[in-house]
Amino acid sequence: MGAVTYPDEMVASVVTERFVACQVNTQDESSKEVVARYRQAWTPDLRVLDSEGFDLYHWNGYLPPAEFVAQLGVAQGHAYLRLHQEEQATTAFEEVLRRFPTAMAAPEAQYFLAVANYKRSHEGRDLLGGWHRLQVRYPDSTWRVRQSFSEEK
Amino acid sequence: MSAIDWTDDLQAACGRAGESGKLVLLDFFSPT
Repeated sequence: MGAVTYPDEMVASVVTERFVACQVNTQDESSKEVVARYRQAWTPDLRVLDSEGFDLYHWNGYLPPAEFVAQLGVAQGHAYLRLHQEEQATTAFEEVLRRFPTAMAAPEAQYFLAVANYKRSHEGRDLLGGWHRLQVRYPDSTWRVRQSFSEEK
Repeated sequence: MSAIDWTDDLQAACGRAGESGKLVLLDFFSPT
């Protein structure tokens, strides 16, 4: 991450604009308390936290720059959903789909864009319509499976 | 060189997030 992804201009710009960035060296003796508190087990381990340190979204594993920014957008959308800031969540998921429609995180963005829109409107068509777009755009994704109960038999 | 302004102080990061309305990105890493 430190060699390729973090030095990337797009990554640095998004992280700096939207987050307070904190790095913890898991091998450092002084990190033992934080590592234990978050039950941290494997690196790279990325967490998005609120200002009280609550873990709102996390993932493991290296991602190249574009995939990282897309995943970060999905993480941001999830964080806003959990904070009940559905309008910001919608914006975050829409941006992922607009900028990175072929990213690995895009199907997840499509799934939760429908959720965010539904939570704003409480209209079933917003949920099912968004999931229908998931079925069409990302038919082989695991996120399509996760809403497959809604598909017509 | 990364242009990201990392801190290693999580408590300070949470404090700055509270003041700015931002979220915290926490990266657990192991030096290679």
